[in-house]
Amino acid sequence: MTMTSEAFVGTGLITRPRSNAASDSAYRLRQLSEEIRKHLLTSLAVSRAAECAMTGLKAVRAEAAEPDWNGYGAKALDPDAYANAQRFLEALPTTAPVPEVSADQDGEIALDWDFGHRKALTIRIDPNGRCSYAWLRGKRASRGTEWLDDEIPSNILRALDQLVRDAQTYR
Amino acid sequence: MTNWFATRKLTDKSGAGVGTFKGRLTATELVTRFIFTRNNIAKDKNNPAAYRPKPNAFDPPADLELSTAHVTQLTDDEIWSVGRLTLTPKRRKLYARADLKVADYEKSKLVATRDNDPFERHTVVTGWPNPSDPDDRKSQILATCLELCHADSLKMVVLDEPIVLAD
Repeated sequence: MTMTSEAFVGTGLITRPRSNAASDSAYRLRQLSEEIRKHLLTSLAVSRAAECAMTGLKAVRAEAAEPDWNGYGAKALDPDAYANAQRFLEALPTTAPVPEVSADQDGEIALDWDFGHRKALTIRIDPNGRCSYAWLRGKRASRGTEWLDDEIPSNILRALDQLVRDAQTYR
Repeated sequence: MTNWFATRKLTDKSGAGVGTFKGRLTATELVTRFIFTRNNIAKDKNNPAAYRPKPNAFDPPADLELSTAHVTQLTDDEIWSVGRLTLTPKRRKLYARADLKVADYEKSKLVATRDNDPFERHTVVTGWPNPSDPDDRKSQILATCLELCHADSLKMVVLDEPIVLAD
């Protein structure tokens, strides 16, 4: 059986189960993981955070529905980008900080986590599930492109995890 | 376009009047990016009274020419007066601005060129990364926008009430 459940280090809670395994025990483990996740989502604090992100997403859909919503000729928000962002937010570890949600010039969804000066992660989610990202951690910086499937791309999750840990360390 | 501050006598290194100056701006000059949507403004996590532009505030359009305004030595009110010039029937509200030294654009290999078109002091920021691979281009531009949001000289000014184009 090969099943991994990636920890969102620093919080100790789990993301959606990640497995290609087909055995009975793998199936049971997957179910158990999903039950834990659903249980967490019923807790006030966690469900409020998830709700907050979704509310932000809906507000962006309303604001960026028409072309030129930013005054600089932006494209209207693409419904497929919206749907992919919804998937992304649903797959986000339950205790991950809530991102700022907005739209970008190309009609994509922008997710931003800002932990202070030069401590930030920004992601763009396009209609095809492409996740362009860039982060800053002090003098270190990186960027890249990942594709959204059933879970958050690991490079993005790692970057977020590291930023959260830094923020907790220096609090 | 009538512009009272165009005649203001400011001097750059060449000694030309800044009011009529056209050309590449040097590192010490100040330019501002006007923000017409709340969508581009984030509260600073460490200081709830402060704000920060989101990276998409600097997203260049498809032609990769980011519109800004040259505002060196202008007072706050004068800068908002420049902002008023940018309002149009389709772009009716001005919420904020992000002031940055040209040096910080240059750190990201960008160039600020004042062209006074379509309004006096209009400045285009060019030199955005433009590799042929669209994925690469997107992530490079994103990284550049993120750098600009965290630039040393950044000063974000958010209005309590937006400036609204009069009917």
